[in-house]
Amino acid sequence: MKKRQIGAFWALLPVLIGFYFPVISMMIHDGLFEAVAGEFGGSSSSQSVILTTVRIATMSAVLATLVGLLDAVLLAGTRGPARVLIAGMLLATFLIPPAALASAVQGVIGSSTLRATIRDELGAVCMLAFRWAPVACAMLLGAAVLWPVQQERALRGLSPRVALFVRARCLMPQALRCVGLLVLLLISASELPSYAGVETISQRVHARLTVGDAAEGWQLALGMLVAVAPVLLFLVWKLPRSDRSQWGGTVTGLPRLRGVDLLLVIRSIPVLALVFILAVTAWPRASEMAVAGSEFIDGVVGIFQELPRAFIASSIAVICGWRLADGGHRWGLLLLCLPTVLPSSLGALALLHVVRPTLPLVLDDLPILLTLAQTCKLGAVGAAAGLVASRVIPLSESNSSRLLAPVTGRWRVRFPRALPVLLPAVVIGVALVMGEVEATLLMAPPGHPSPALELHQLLHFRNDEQAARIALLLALVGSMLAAIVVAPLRRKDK
Amino acid sequence: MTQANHPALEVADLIVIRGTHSIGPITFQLSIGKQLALTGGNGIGKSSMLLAIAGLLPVTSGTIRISGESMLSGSDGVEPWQRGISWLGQERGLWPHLSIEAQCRLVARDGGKTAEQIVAVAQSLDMAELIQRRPAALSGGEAQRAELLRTVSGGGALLLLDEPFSAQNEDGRRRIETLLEQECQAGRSVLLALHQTDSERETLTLTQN
Amino acid sequence: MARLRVWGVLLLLLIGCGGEDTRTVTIYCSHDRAHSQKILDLFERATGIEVEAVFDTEATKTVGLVQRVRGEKARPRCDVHWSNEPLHAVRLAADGFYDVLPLGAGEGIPAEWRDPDRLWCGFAGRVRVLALAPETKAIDSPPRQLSDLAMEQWRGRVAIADPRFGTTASHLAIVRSRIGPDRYRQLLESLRANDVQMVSSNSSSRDRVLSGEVWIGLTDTDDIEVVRRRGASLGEEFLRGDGVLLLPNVIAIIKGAPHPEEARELAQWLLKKEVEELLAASSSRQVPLRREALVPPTGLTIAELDPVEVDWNDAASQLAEAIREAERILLDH
Repeated sequence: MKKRQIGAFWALLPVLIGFYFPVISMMIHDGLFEAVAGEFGGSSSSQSVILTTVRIATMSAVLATLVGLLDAVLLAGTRGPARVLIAGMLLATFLIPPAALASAVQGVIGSSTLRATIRDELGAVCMLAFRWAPVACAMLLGAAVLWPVQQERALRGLSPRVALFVRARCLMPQALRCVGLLVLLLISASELPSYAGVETISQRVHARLTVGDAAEGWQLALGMLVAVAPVLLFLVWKLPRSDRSQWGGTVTGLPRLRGVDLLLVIRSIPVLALVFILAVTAWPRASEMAVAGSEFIDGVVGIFQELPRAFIASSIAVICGWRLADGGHRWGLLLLCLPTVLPSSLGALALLHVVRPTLPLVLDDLPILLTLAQTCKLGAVGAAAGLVASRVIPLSESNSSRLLAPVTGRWRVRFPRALPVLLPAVVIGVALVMGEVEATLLMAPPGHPSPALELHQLLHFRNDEQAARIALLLALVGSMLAAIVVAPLRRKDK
Repeated sequence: MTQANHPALEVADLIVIRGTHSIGPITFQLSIGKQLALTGGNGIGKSSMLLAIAGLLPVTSGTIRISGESMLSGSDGVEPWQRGISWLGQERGLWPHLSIEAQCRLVARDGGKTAEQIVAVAQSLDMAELIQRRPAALSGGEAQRAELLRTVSGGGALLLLDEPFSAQNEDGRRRIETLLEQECQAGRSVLLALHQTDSERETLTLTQN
Repeated sequence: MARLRVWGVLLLLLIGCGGEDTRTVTIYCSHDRAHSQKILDLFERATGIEVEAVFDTEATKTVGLVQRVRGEKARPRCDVHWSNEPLHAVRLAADGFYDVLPLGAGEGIPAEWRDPDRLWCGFAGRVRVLALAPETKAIDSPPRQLSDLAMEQWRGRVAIADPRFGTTASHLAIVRSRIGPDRYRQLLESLRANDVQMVSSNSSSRDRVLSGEVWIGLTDTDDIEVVRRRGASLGEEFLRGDGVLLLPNVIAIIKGAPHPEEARELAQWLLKKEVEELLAASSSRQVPLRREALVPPTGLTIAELDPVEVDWNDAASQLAEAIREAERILLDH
């Protein structure tokens, strides 16, 4: 094995220990391979569920990217009042778990508003797109501000509307990759059933496990991996290098368009409405003030207890992704991405069965395995961030750094240069971990706080007031995290 | 086997491909302590040759020997950082998150110049006041001299310089010429890519044929 | 060396954190958190034993706590399992995950709600019910049994939760156990032919009735009670034609539990009559299994419901096949 491959091996360790080793062990244990020998690919109904899942994930990803592209182009290409606030607000809703979003939206429009034979599917697509548009916006905003300085200056000489159009056209390659990443993240979105009676592959896998038919569950999971592997391979292989891009995120010279301000205000209305609904629902009656107050404090404590762990999980995934991308290890990136496609429950169960019994008892009270499972789940985010980050550094800088010893060049030069892309990715990862329910339910040590899990439980039992309080808190934390992403991107905005 | 027995750089029948364009074959030698300028029209392949010698562009065929050692052995050839070269690209490649001094120290870690020598070179390039700054605070000409300072600070015996005078006025050009002469006297060799013929050093003109 | 010492101290602190003197017990609970938490708080106050609870969430989103119990078999972390859905618990008992409950636990609860080997014991439960839309003919002449849902007058007007999860899956498995596989499949075929709508959960089934999209939704009594207390108007029918189906909560002790003594205390405490009464008074309107338990005037008593007797072991053994057939007939058409 070549030295550079050995050097990158550590970046695959989390996913090897946290996913491949336990999952393959479980597959063998549960007799997957006998099942595959008998009838690979499952019944035609299983295949149709895979197709439905891919179709919904793709439609949602395209819609979310279109909305995110519009947001990103307007925010990056114009100046105007309260842009950071608007951007923060648009990104904030991502931290609210989908069940809360669905509940709030249903509260406003009623579940019967969308009547059609495709009602369930359409509803699911709309809801998913609304939830994931902030991720697309954050990614494309990052790409837009890493524009080559000369190109940016040339754009600012054009008439404002033409400039916005050209900006959108130039962001299309990144937008396509954004669609790819979102498809991967949405394929395993077991949040779908909470919106509508749409069946996804995650649900079917869960059903198999529930009835003790594990081999068929694993077979479905494998079918899913086979179905998406070519897309993944394309994503990993085809990202072109941006030769001359450079940090250019100032606002001097950007046009100011009244229409855009109005458009952004309109775009913010659903978010404001959501926050308003949550606030009204969350506001306690006079008799409940004391109880609500203590619940609020508990919620704050829980969220802030989870944040550092979420940060660790997300950072590990992103650093591993960047390390593999920086070294050009495409197969490594593919291995990193695959766990994202499967429901978290599968990896978590395998970890519980295979790895947990080997850990020292003293580690049982720590959420180590949970963090590992969530790190694996963020593989695609890490890989995408790593690929983008390693491509946006100007080639001349990158070449200069390759004349240094590999470790020095990597960690002293290229890694700090990649941070403008990696940090937003870490923030997105934190948001995903904070909203993760499946692995948390299976692996969190007793007493471990999980705001997302609590919120799901509260919604299920229609404890809407307390759920709204937690959702509001999450939105607040989401705004803070969004500020971390947005503020440096527009630091010279006035 | 000592370095003195071999030229600093030997290139034989070298062909590189950039995009759809094939460049070469080209053959030349550069002796220790000497300077050689590759010249020729736009797009003729001067920069590509330097990139290939630095190990930053794949080679189709031919040989490259630096201090007598083949750089193309093994599947990927010798890694750029192990070739014993220092490289200055045509595009600015300063790392914006580090001061010029920090960058010089970083490249000097493996057998490069000492801190005092770096300061001395900076003075000779009229950069002494500027090395605490980050690249964003430099003008175009200053940034080019700063990058040359970083290149020279490294330990490579062979300097590959792509258009090192392009952003310089007369004074800047003279300072760089003096520095390169000093480096050659100290035993380093210099291969330059220049877009116009140079009377001050040996020249190899690349043509379409 | 200094670094080594720092790590050593950190490790000791880490180990030290786990070694507290307080008595603790861990419970995996799939009952409504709002109510069960209060009950567990009462236990803490009464005994001084600290309870660490892990609560379940909606079944369709996850594989849930039952799978967690299975996953932790090699080294259990849970002491007491409080399941609000009996068939999975019966399967866990059959697969050797449960230990014997202490003698006297659940005294007064009739034998039909307990495992003969004392591996699990049921207590207060909920009832499978049809939610009926007001001001529709569903209120005037409600279906009396599941097969009535296949009548032409209800075509496209009935919603059922995903038949592979939760109480709907249990319900179908019990039906299969009672009427046999052939009639079970016929029933499913007739439901499919009558355009019964599949929705994600019992609460969705109820919500579709509330919104007027369907007239009838198969759900649980607690799902109806929650919205009634908020002023919603819904009728209910207990499917008396089939026999009222009551699905009890179940308490079991995990074999190899890390705190066996505390587990026995908690299990015994949860199976007391007072806990059934607390659940009966809560907004989940559970039905106590003891006839002598006090029930509020708006609550349901076991005497008035007279639930049908279920062969729990047989129903549990049919669960997988019932789910598979339901998926094939109702979902994959």
